[in-house]
Amino acid sequence: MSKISNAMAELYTVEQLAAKDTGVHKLHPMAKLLTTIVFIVAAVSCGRYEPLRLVPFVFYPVLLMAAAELPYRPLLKRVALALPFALLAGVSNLIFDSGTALVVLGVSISGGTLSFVTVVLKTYLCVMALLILTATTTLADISAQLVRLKVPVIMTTVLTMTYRYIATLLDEVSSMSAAYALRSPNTRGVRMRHMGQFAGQLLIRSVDRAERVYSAMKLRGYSGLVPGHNSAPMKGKDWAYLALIAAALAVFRIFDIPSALGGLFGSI
Amino acid sequence: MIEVRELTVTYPDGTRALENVFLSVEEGERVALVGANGAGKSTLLMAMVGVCAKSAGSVTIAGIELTKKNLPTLRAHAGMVLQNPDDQLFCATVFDDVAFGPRNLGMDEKDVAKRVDSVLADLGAEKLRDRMPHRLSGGEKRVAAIASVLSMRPSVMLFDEPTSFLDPRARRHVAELLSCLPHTMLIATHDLDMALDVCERVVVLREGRVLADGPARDLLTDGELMEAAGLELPLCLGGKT
Repeated sequence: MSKISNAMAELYTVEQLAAKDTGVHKLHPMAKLLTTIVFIVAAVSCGRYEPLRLVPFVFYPVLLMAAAELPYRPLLKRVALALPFALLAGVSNLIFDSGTALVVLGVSISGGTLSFVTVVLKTYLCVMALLILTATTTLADISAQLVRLKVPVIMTTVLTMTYRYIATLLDEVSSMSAAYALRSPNTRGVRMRHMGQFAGQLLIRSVDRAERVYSAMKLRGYSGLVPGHNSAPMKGKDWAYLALIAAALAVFRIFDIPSALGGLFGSI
Repeated sequence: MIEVRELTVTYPDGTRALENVFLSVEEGERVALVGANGAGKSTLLMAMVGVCAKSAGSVTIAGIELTKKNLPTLRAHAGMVLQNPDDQLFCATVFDDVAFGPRNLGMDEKDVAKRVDSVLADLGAEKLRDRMPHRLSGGEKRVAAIASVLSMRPSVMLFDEPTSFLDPRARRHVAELLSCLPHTMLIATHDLDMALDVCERVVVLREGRVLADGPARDLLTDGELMEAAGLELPLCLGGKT
Protein backbone atom coordinates (compact mmCIF):
# COMPACT_ATOMS: atom_id res chain seq x y z
CA MET A 1 0.00 0.00 0.00
CA SER A 2 1.38 3.43 -0.92
CA LYS A 3 2.08 6.11 1.66
CA ILE A 4 -0.93 8.06 0.41
CA SER A 5 -3.21 5.05 0.63
CA ASN A 6 -1.95 4.57 4.17
CA ALA A 7 -2.68 8.20 4.93
CA MET A 8 -6.21 7.75 3.58
CA ALA A 9 -6.75 4.63 5.65
CA GLU A 10 -5.42 6.42 8.73
CA LEU A 11 -7.57 9.44 8.08
CA TYR A 12 -10.62 7.34 8.75
CA THR A 13 -9.24 5.18 11.55
CA VAL A 14 -10.51 7.44 14.32
CA GLU A 15 -13.84 7.84 12.55
CA GLN A 16 -14.20 4.08 12.28
CA LEU A 17 -13.73 3.83 16.02
CA ALA A 18 -16.83 6.00 16.39
CA ALA A 19 -18.90 3.13 14.98
CA LYS A 20 -18.24 0.98 18.08
CA ASP A 21 -21.08 0.08 20.39
CA THR A 22 -19.82 0.69 23.92
CA GLY A 23 -21.58 2.58 26.71
CA VAL A 24 -19.52 5.69 25.98
CA HIS A 25 -20.40 5.53 22.29
CA LYS A 26 -24.08 5.28 23.17
CA LEU A 27 -24.04 8.42 25.30
CA HIS A 28 -25.73 11.47 23.83
CA PRO A 29 -23.27 13.40 21.63
CA MET A 30 -24.14 16.62 23.47
CA ALA A 31 -23.08 15.09 26.82
CA LYS A 32 -19.75 14.04 25.33
CA LEU A 33 -19.21 17.38 23.60
CA LEU A 34 -19.97 19.37 26.76
CA THR A 35 -17.72 17.25 28.98
CA THR A 36 -14.92 17.67 26.43
CA ILE A 37 -15.39 21.45 26.48
CA VAL A 38 -15.46 21.51 30.30
CA PHE A 39 -12.35 19.32 30.39
CA ILE A 40 -10.42 21.58 28.01
CA VAL A 41 -11.43 24.75 29.86
CA ALA A 42 -10.50 23.23 33.22
CA ALA A 43 -7.15 21.90 32.01
CA VAL A 44 -6.16 25.03 30.09
CA SER A 45 -7.04 27.33 32.99
CA CYS A 46 -4.51 25.68 35.31
CA GLY A 47 -1.53 27.89 36.14
CA ARG A 48 1.56 27.81 33.93
CA TYR A 49 3.83 26.95 36.87
CA GLU A 50 1.60 24.14 38.17
CA PRO A 51 2.21 21.06 36.03
CA LEU A 52 1.38 18.78 38.95
CA ARG A 53 -2.15 20.22 39.06
CA LEU A 54 -2.68 18.62 35.64
CA VAL A 55 -1.86 15.10 36.83
CA PRO A 56 -5.41 14.24 38.05
CA PHE A 57 -6.75 15.24 34.61
CA VAL A 58 -4.90 12.28 33.09
CA PHE A 59 -7.57 10.04 34.60
CA TYR A 60 -10.18 11.41 32.18
CA PRO A 61 -8.58 10.14 28.94
CA VAL A 62 -7.36 6.94 30.58
CA LEU A 63 -10.75 5.99 31.99
CA LEU A 64 -12.66 6.99 28.87
CA MET A 65 -10.32 5.07 26.58
CA ALA A 66 -10.77 1.99 28.72
CA ALA A 67 -14.55 2.37 28.93
CA ALA A 68 -14.87 3.03 25.18
CA GLU A 69 -12.45 0.21 24.34
CA LEU A 70 -10.30 2.55 22.27
CA PRO A 71 -6.88 1.34 21.15
CA TYR A 72 -4.19 3.62 22.61
CA ARG A 73 -1.68 3.32 19.76
CA PRO A 74 -3.55 5.17 16.94
CA LEU A 75 -4.63 7.89 19.36
CA LEU A 76 -1.13 8.37 20.77
CA LYS A 77 0.20 8.55 17.22
CA ARG A 78 -2.15 11.42 16.51
CA VAL A 79 -1.32 13.19 19.75
CA ALA A 80 2.33 12.92 18.74
CA LEU A 81 1.52 14.96 15.63
CA ALA A 82 0.48 17.90 17.83
CA LEU A 83 3.35 17.64 20.32
CA PRO A 84 6.06 19.25 18.13
CA PHE A 85 3.99 22.47 18.11
CA ALA A 86 3.76 22.34 21.90
CA LEU A 87 7.46 21.60 22.21
CA LEU A 88 8.27 24.54 19.93
CA ALA A 89 6.07 26.86 21.99
CA GLY A 90 7.48 25.53 25.27
CA VAL A 91 11.16 25.79 24.28
CA SER A 92 10.99 29.59 24.27
CA ASN A 93 9.90 29.43 27.92
CA LEU A 94 13.03 27.43 28.74
CA ILE A 95 15.18 30.16 27.22
CA PHE A 96 13.44 33.31 28.41
CA ASP A 97 12.11 32.25 31.83
CA SER A 98 15.28 31.02 33.50
CA GLY A 99 14.62 32.31 37.04
CA THR A 100 14.38 29.68 39.79
CA ALA A 101 10.77 28.89 40.60
CA LEU A 102 11.19 25.82 42.75
CA VAL A 103 13.90 23.92 44.60
CA VAL A 104 13.41 20.17 44.91
CA LEU A 105 15.93 18.16 46.92
CA GLY A 106 18.48 20.90 46.45
CA VAL A 107 17.93 21.08 42.67
CA SER A 108 16.60 24.39 41.43
CA ILE A 109 13.95 24.20 38.71
CA SER A 110 13.41 27.25 36.54
CA GLY A 111 9.98 28.76 35.80
CA GLY A 112 10.64 28.01 32.12
CA THR A 113 11.03 24.31 32.82
CA LEU A 114 7.77 24.22 34.77
CA SER A 115 5.85 26.13 32.10
CA PHE A 116 7.44 23.96 29.39
CA VAL A 117 6.16 20.80 31.08
CA THR A 118 2.77 22.47 31.61
CA VAL A 119 2.42 23.44 27.94
CA VAL A 120 3.30 19.92 26.79
CA LEU A 121 0.94 18.31 29.31
CA LYS A 122 -1.94 20.66 28.44
CA THR A 123 -1.47 19.97 24.73
CA TYR A 124 -1.40 16.24 25.32
CA LEU A 125 -4.53 16.33 27.48
CA CYS A 126 -6.57 18.63 25.22
CA VAL A 127 -5.68 16.86 21.98
CA MET A 128 -6.37 13.51 23.61
CA ALA A 129 -9.78 14.71 24.86
CA LEU A 130 -10.71 15.86 21.35
CA LEU A 131 -9.50 12.62 19.81
CA ILE A 132 -11.56 10.63 22.28
CA LEU A 133 -14.57 12.74 21.38
CA THR A 134 -14.11 12.06 17.64
CA ALA A 135 -13.40 8.37 18.32
CA THR A 136 -16.67 7.97 20.21
CA THR A 137 -18.92 10.35 18.24
CA THR A 138 -19.40 10.73 14.49
CA LEU A 139 -18.45 14.02 12.87
CA ALA A 140 -22.06 14.47 11.73
CA ASP A 141 -23.27 14.16 15.33
CA ILE A 142 -20.63 16.57 16.61
CA SER A 143 -21.59 19.10 13.90
CA ALA A 144 -25.29 18.73 14.77
CA GLN A 145 -24.58 19.37 18.47
CA LEU A 146 -22.40 22.38 17.64
CA VAL A 147 -25.36 23.80 15.75
CA ARG A 148 -27.54 23.21 18.82
CA LEU A 149 -24.95 25.17 20.80
CA LYS A 150 -25.60 28.07 18.38
CA VAL A 151 -22.38 27.70 16.41
CA PRO A 152 -23.27 29.14 12.97
CA VAL A 153 -24.37 26.35 10.60
CA ILE A 154 -22.07 27.67 7.90
CA MET A 155 -19.07 26.98 10.16
CA THR A 156 -20.08 23.40 10.91
CA THR A 157 -20.79 22.84 7.21
CA VAL A 158 -17.33 24.13 6.28
CA LEU A 159 -15.86 21.82 8.93
CA THR A 160 -17.70 18.77 7.61
CA MET A 161 -17.03 19.51 3.96
CA THR A 162 -13.33 20.25 4.51
CA TYR A 163 -12.95 16.91 6.23
CA ARG A 164 -14.72 15.13 3.37
CA TYR A 165 -12.76 16.90 0.65
CA ILE A 166 -9.42 15.93 2.22
CA ALA A 167 -10.23 12.37 1.18
CA THR A 168 -11.12 13.56 -2.34
CA LEU A 169 -7.81 15.41 -2.60
CA LEU A 170 -5.82 12.44 -1.29
CA ASP A 171 -7.61 10.19 -3.75
CA GLU A 172 -6.47 12.36 -6.65
CA VAL A 173 -2.91 12.60 -5.28
CA SER A 174 -2.87 8.82 -4.93
CA SER A 175 -3.86 8.07 -8.53
CA MET A 176 -1.59 10.80 -9.96
CA SER A 177 1.43 9.63 -7.93
CA ALA A 178 0.80 6.03 -9.01
CA ALA A 179 0.67 7.10 -12.67
CA TYR A 180 3.86 9.17 -12.19
CA ALA A 181 5.74 6.41 -10.35
CA LEU A 182 4.86 3.83 -13.00
CA ARG A 183 6.53 5.95 -15.67
CA SER A 184 9.54 7.01 -13.61
CA PRO A 185 10.61 3.82 -11.82
CA ASN A 186 14.01 5.20 -10.76
CA THR A 187 12.62 8.26 -9.02
CA ARG A 188 11.45 8.49 -5.45
CA GLY A 189 8.51 10.83 -5.22
CA VAL A 190 7.84 13.62 -7.70
CA ARG A 191 10.89 15.44 -9.09
CA MET A 192 11.16 19.12 -8.31
CA ARG A 193 11.05 20.07 -11.99
CA HIS A 194 7.73 18.23 -12.40
CA MET A 195 6.27 19.57 -9.19
CA GLY A 196 4.67 22.65 -10.79
CA GLN A 197 2.86 20.59 -13.41
CA PHE A 198 1.89 17.99 -10.83
CA ALA A 199 0.44 20.59 -8.43
CA GLY A 200 -1.38 22.39 -11.26
CA GLN A 201 -2.94 19.19 -12.54
CA LEU A 202 -3.85 18.19 -9.00
CA LEU A 203 -5.65 21.48 -8.51
CA ILE A 204 -7.60 21.15 -11.77
CA ARG A 205 -8.51 17.52 -11.15
CA SER A 206 -9.53 18.18 -7.56
CA VAL A 207 -11.72 21.09 -8.57
CA ASP A 208 -13.36 18.91 -11.25
CA ARG A 209 -13.89 16.09 -8.78
CA ALA A 210 -15.19 18.45 -6.11
CA GLU A 211 -17.63 19.84 -8.66
CA ARG A 212 -18.94 16.35 -9.44
CA VAL A 213 -19.35 15.61 -5.73
CA TYR A 214 -21.14 18.94 -5.32
CA SER A 215 -23.45 18.06 -8.24
CA ALA A 216 -24.28 14.75 -6.58
CA MET A 217 -25.15 16.64 -3.40
CA LYS A 218 -27.31 19.19 -5.20
CA LEU A 219 -29.16 16.40 -6.98
CA ARG A 220 -30.17 15.06 -3.59
CA GLY A 221 -31.62 18.30 -2.35
CA TYR A 222 -28.51 19.93 -0.83
CA SER A 223 -29.16 23.64 -0.52
CA GLY A 224 -25.98 24.91 1.10
CA LEU A 225 -26.20 23.49 4.60
CA VAL A 226 -25.68 19.96 5.85
CA PRO A 227 -28.89 19.02 7.66
CA GLY A 228 -28.40 18.34 11.34
CA HIS A 229 -29.54 15.17 13.01
CA ASN A 230 -29.70 13.56 16.43
CA SER A 231 -31.91 16.27 17.86
CA ALA A 232 -33.21 13.88 20.53
CA PRO A 233 -33.03 15.28 24.09
CA MET A 234 -30.47 13.99 26.60
CA LYS A 235 -31.67 11.17 28.84
CA GLY A 236 -31.08 10.63 32.55
CA LYS A 237 -27.87 8.64 32.04
CA ASP A 238 -26.49 11.41 29.78
CA TRP A 239 -27.20 14.07 32.40
CA ALA A 240 -25.66 11.84 35.08
CA TYR A 241 -22.51 11.37 32.99
CA LEU A 242 -22.26 15.09 32.33
CA ALA A 243 -22.81 15.98 35.99
CA LEU A 244 -20.36 13.39 37.28
CA ILE A 245 -17.54 14.32 34.91
CA ALA A 246 -18.13 18.06 35.34
CA ALA A 247 -18.09 17.67 39.15
CA ALA A 248 -14.88 15.63 39.07
CA LEU A 249 -13.22 18.18 36.78
CA ALA A 250 -14.35 21.02 39.04
CA VAL A 251 -12.76 19.24 42.02
CA PHE A 252 -9.53 18.70 40.04
CA ARG A 253 -9.49 22.36 39.08
CA ILE A 254 -10.45 23.96 42.39
CA PHE A 255 -8.51 21.78 44.81
CA ASP A 256 -4.80 21.11 44.57
CA ILE A 257 -5.13 17.35 44.92
CA PRO A 258 -1.47 16.42 44.26
CA SER A 259 -0.31 18.84 47.01
CA ALA A 260 -2.99 17.60 49.39
CA LEU A 261 -1.94 14.00 48.79
CA GLY A 262 1.71 14.98 49.11
CA GLY A 263 0.97 16.68 52.45
CA LEU A 264 -0.98 13.65 53.59
CA PHE A 265 1.84 11.23 52.83
CA GLY A 266 4.36 13.72 54.29
CA SER A 267 2.52 13.79 57.59
CA ILE A 268 2.42 9.95 57.70
CA MET B 1 -43.35 11.39 -17.79
CA ILE B 2 -40.27 12.89 -19.49
CA GLU B 3 -40.57 15.46 -22.28
CA VAL B 4 -37.45 16.93 -23.85
CA ARG B 5 -37.99 19.41 -26.66
CA GLU B 6 -35.43 21.05 -28.91
CA LEU B 7 -32.79 20.71 -26.23
CA THR B 8 -29.48 22.28 -27.14
CA VAL B 9 -26.41 22.45 -24.92
CA THR B 10 -23.30 24.39 -25.83
CA TYR B 11 -20.23 24.25 -23.61
CA PRO B 12 -18.43 27.46 -22.65
CA ASP B 13 -15.63 26.62 -25.14
CA GLY B 14 -18.21 26.63 -27.95
CA THR B 15 -18.54 22.85 -28.34
CA ARG B 16 -22.09 21.90 -29.21
CA ALA B 17 -22.75 18.85 -27.00
CA LEU B 18 -26.44 18.46 -27.80
CA GLU B 19 -28.39 19.85 -30.69
CA ASN B 20 -32.12 20.00 -31.04
CA VAL B 21 -32.81 16.83 -29.06
CA PHE B 22 -36.39 15.57 -28.78
CA LEU B 23 -37.24 12.78 -26.38
CA SER B 24 -40.47 11.57 -24.87
CA VAL B 25 -40.64 8.81 -22.26
CA GLU B 26 -43.91 7.37 -20.94
CA GLU B 27 -44.54 6.43 -17.32
CA GLY B 28 -42.95 3.10 -16.39
CA GLU B 29 -40.88 2.93 -19.59
CA ARG B 30 -37.22 1.92 -19.44
CA VAL B 31 -35.18 3.62 -22.11
CA ALA B 32 -31.49 3.15 -22.89
CA LEU B 33 -29.47 6.04 -24.25
CA VAL B 34 -26.64 4.60 -26.30
CA GLY B 35 -23.91 6.16 -28.40
CA ALA B 36 -20.16 6.37 -28.78
CA ASN B 37 -17.96 8.40 -26.42
CA GLY B 38 -18.79 12.08 -26.77
CA ALA B 39 -22.20 11.40 -28.32
CA GLY B 40 -23.86 13.47 -25.56
CA LYS B 41 -25.43 10.79 -23.35
CA SER B 42 -24.15 12.08 -20.02
CA THR B 43 -24.68 15.69 -21.07
CA LEU B 44 -28.31 14.94 -21.86
CA LEU B 45 -28.87 13.44 -18.40
CA MET B 46 -27.00 16.30 -16.70
CA ALA B 47 -28.98 18.90 -18.66
CA MET B 48 -32.26 17.22 -17.73
CA VAL B 49 -31.61 17.79 -14.02
CA GLY B 50 -30.07 21.21 -14.44
CA VAL B 51 -26.49 20.30 -13.54
CA CYS B 52 -25.44 21.28 -17.02
CA ALA B 53 -27.03 24.49 -18.31
CA LYS B 54 -29.12 24.23 -21.45
CA SER B 55 -28.68 26.80 -24.19
CA ALA B 56 -32.13 26.26 -25.67
CA GLY B 57 -35.16 23.99 -25.50
CA SER B 58 -37.24 22.68 -22.65
CA VAL B 59 -37.30 19.73 -20.26
CA THR B 60 -40.34 18.58 -18.32
CA ILE B 61 -40.19 15.69 -15.84
CA ALA B 62 -43.30 14.45 -14.02
CA GLY B 63 -45.10 17.60 -15.11
CA ILE B 64 -42.44 19.91 -13.68
CA GLU B 65 -40.65 22.14 -16.14
CA LEU B 66 -36.93 22.64 -15.75
CA THR B 67 -36.55 26.23 -14.55
CA LYS B 68 -34.33 27.76 -11.90
CA LYS B 69 -37.31 28.10 -9.59
CA ASN B 70 -38.51 24.51 -10.08
CA LEU B 71 -35.07 22.93 -9.76
CA PRO B 72 -35.41 21.58 -6.17
CA THR B 73 -38.86 20.06 -6.90
CA LEU B 74 -37.69 18.61 -10.20
CA ARG B 75 -34.65 17.04 -8.55
CA ALA B 76 -36.82 15.49 -5.87
CA HIS B 77 -38.77 13.76 -8.66
CA ALA B 78 -35.85 12.83 -10.88
CA GLY B 79 -33.14 10.85 -9.12
CA MET B 80 -29.81 10.62 -10.88
CA VAL B 81 -27.12 8.03 -10.25
CA LEU B 82 -23.74 9.32 -11.41
CA GLN B 83 -21.21 7.30 -13.38
CA ASN B 84 -18.62 7.21 -10.62
CA PRO B 85 -20.09 6.15 -7.25
CA ASP B 86 -17.11 7.76 -5.50
CA ASP B 87 -18.55 11.11 -6.60
CA GLN B 88 -21.92 10.20 -5.18
CA LEU B 89 -20.89 8.73 -1.83
CA PHE B 90 -19.23 11.27 0.43
CA CYS B 91 -20.57 10.61 3.93
CA ALA B 92 -18.97 8.66 6.76
CA THR B 93 -21.26 5.64 6.44
CA VAL B 94 -23.61 4.18 3.86
CA PHE B 95 -26.47 4.98 6.24
CA ASP B 96 -25.57 8.68 6.24
CA ASP B 97 -25.23 8.70 2.47
CA VAL B 98 -28.61 7.06 1.94
CA ALA B 99 -30.08 9.40 4.57
CA PHE B 100 -28.57 12.51 2.97
CA GLY B 101 -31.44 13.07 0.53
CA PRO B 102 -34.31 12.40 2.99
CA ARG B 103 -32.66 14.69 5.55
CA ASN B 104 -32.42 17.41 2.93
CA LEU B 105 -36.13 16.89 2.30
CA GLY B 106 -36.62 17.86 5.97
CA MET B 107 -37.77 14.45 7.14
CA ASP B 108 -37.87 13.55 10.83
CA GLU B 109 -34.88 11.46 11.96
CA LYS B 110 -37.06 8.45 12.86
CA ASP B 111 -38.65 8.45 9.42
CA VAL B 112 -35.23 8.89 7.83
CA ALA B 113 -33.96 5.75 9.59
CA LYS B 114 -37.08 3.82 8.52
CA ARG B 115 -36.71 5.02 4.93
CA VAL B 116 -33.01 4.11 4.79
CA ASP B 117 -33.58 0.65 6.23
CA SER B 118 -36.45 -0.03 3.86
CA VAL B 119 -34.45 1.04 0.78
CA LEU B 120 -31.42 -1.02 1.81
CA ALA B 121 -33.70 -4.01 2.46
CA ASP B 122 -35.32 -3.60 -0.98
CA LEU B 123 -31.89 -3.72 -2.59
CA GLY B 124 -30.70 -6.60 -0.37
CA ALA B 125 -27.98 -4.31 0.98
CA GLU B 126 -28.74 -4.26 4.72
CA LYS B 127 -25.22 -5.43 5.51
CA LEU B 128 -23.79 -2.25 3.98
CA ARG B 129 -25.74 0.01 6.37
CA ASP B 130 -22.93 0.93 8.79
CA ARG B 131 -19.97 0.43 6.47
CA MET B 132 -17.75 3.22 5.22
CA PRO B 133 -18.41 3.88 1.52
CA HIS B 134 -14.76 4.09 0.49
CA ARG B 135 -14.15 0.59 1.85
CA LEU B 136 -16.85 -1.03 -0.33
CA SER B 137 -16.22 -3.02 -3.49
CA GLY B 138 -17.17 -1.50 -6.86
CA GLY B 139 -20.46 -3.41 -6.99
CA GLU B 140 -21.35 -2.52 -3.41
CA LYS B 141 -20.58 1.14 -4.05
CA ARG B 142 -22.91 1.07 -7.04
CA VAL B 143 -25.71 -0.45 -4.99
CA ALA B 144 -25.12 2.12 -2.23
CA ALA B 145 -25.20 4.93 -4.81
CA ILE B 146 -28.51 3.62 -6.20
CA ALA B 147 -29.88 3.38 -2.64
CA SER B 148 -28.81 6.96 -1.94
CA VAL B 149 -31.03 8.12 -4.80
CA LEU B 150 -33.92 5.68 -4.26
CA SER B 151 -34.27 6.94 -0.68
CA MET B 152 -35.64 10.19 -2.07
CA ARG B 153 -38.49 8.19 -3.66
CA PRO B 154 -38.09 9.72 -7.11
CA SER B 155 -40.62 8.92 -9.81
CA VAL B 156 -37.96 8.95 -12.54
CA MET B 157 -34.48 7.43 -12.33
CA LEU B 158 -31.61 8.57 -14.52
CA PHE B 159 -28.53 6.35 -14.65
CA ASP B 160 -25.18 7.33 -16.11
CA GLU B 161 -23.23 4.20 -17.07
CA PRO B 162 -24.55 2.09 -14.18
CA THR B 163 -22.44 -0.95 -15.08
CA SER B 164 -19.10 0.70 -15.85
CA PHE B 165 -16.02 -0.51 -13.88
CA LEU B 166 -17.89 -3.61 -12.67
CA ASP B 167 -16.87 -7.26 -12.90
CA PRO B 168 -19.30 -9.60 -14.68
CA ARG B 169 -21.05 -10.77 -11.53
CA ALA B 170 -21.51 -7.26 -10.10
CA ARG B 171 -22.63 -6.09 -13.53
CA ARG B 172 -25.25 -8.85 -13.63
CA HIS B 173 -26.38 -7.95 -10.11
CA VAL B 174 -26.83 -4.27 -11.02
CA ALA B 175 -28.66 -5.18 -14.25
CA GLU B 176 -31.06 -7.41 -12.31
CA LEU B 177 -31.55 -4.66 -9.78
CA LEU B 178 -32.48 -2.20 -12.52
CA SER B 179 -34.91 -4.71 -14.04
CA CYS B 180 -36.68 -5.03 -10.70
CA LEU B 181 -37.13 -1.30 -10.10
CA PRO B 182 -40.60 -0.07 -11.03
CA HIS B 183 -39.45 3.45 -11.94
CA THR B 184 -39.49 5.23 -15.25
CA MET B 185 -35.86 4.98 -16.30
CA LEU B 186 -33.41 6.59 -18.63
CA ILE B 187 -30.09 4.73 -18.73
CA ALA B 188 -27.05 6.15 -20.51
CA THR B 189 -24.80 3.22 -21.27
CA HIS B 190 -22.17 1.59 -23.46
CA ASP B 191 -23.25 -1.78 -22.15
CA LEU B 192 -25.54 -2.84 -24.99
CA ASP B 193 -26.14 -6.28 -23.50
CA MET B 194 -27.44 -4.68 -20.33
CA ALA B 195 -29.52 -2.26 -22.41
CA LEU B 196 -31.05 -5.23 -24.21
CA ASP B 197 -31.75 -7.03 -20.92
CA VAL B 198 -33.21 -4.09 -19.02
CA CYS B 199 -34.76 -1.71 -21.54
CA GLU B 200 -37.55 -2.16 -23.99
CA ARG B 201 -36.62 0.95 -25.93
CA VAL B 202 -33.36 2.48 -27.13
CA VAL B 203 -32.43 6.00 -28.21
CA VAL B 204 -29.24 6.18 -30.25
CA LEU B 205 -27.24 9.41 -30.07
CA ARG B 206 -24.52 10.55 -32.42
CA GLU B 207 -22.65 13.84 -32.13
CA GLY B 208 -25.30 15.34 -29.92
CA ARG B 209 -28.28 14.41 -32.08
CA VAL B 210 -30.84 11.62 -31.93
CA LEU B 211 -29.91 9.17 -34.66
CA ALA B 212 -32.61 6.59 -33.98
CA ASP B 213 -35.34 5.86 -31.46
CA GLY B 214 -37.20 2.55 -31.27
CA PRO B 215 -37.56 -0.92 -29.76
CA ALA B 216 -34.30 -2.14 -28.19
CA ARG B 217 -34.22 -5.46 -30.02
CA ASP B 218 -34.78 -3.86 -33.43
CA LEU B 219 -32.18 -1.12 -33.08
CA LEU B 220 -29.48 -3.04 -31.25
CA THR B 221 -29.56 -5.82 -33.85
CA ASP B 222 -29.26 -3.38 -36.74
CA GLY B 223 -25.60 -3.71 -37.68
CA GLU B 224 -25.62 -0.74 -40.05
CA LEU B 225 -27.17 1.55 -37.45
CA MET B 226 -24.71 0.42 -34.79
CA GLU B 227 -21.85 1.04 -37.20
CA ALA B 228 -23.16 4.51 -38.02
CA ALA B 229 -23.42 5.31 -34.29
CA GLY B 230 -19.85 4.16 -33.64
CA LEU B 231 -21.09 1.10 -31.76
CA GLU B 232 -21.00 -2.67 -32.20
CA LEU B 233 -23.67 -5.31 -31.87
CA PRO B 234 -24.24 -6.59 -28.31
CA LEU B 235 -22.01 -9.53 -27.40
CA CYS B 236 -25.01 -11.79 -26.94
CA LEU B 237 -25.92 -11.13 -30.58
CA GLY B 238 -22.48 -11.97 -31.88
CA GLY B 239 -20.77 -8.60 -31.40
CA LYS B 240 -16.97 -8.51 -31.35
CA THR B 241 -15.27 -9.38 -28.06
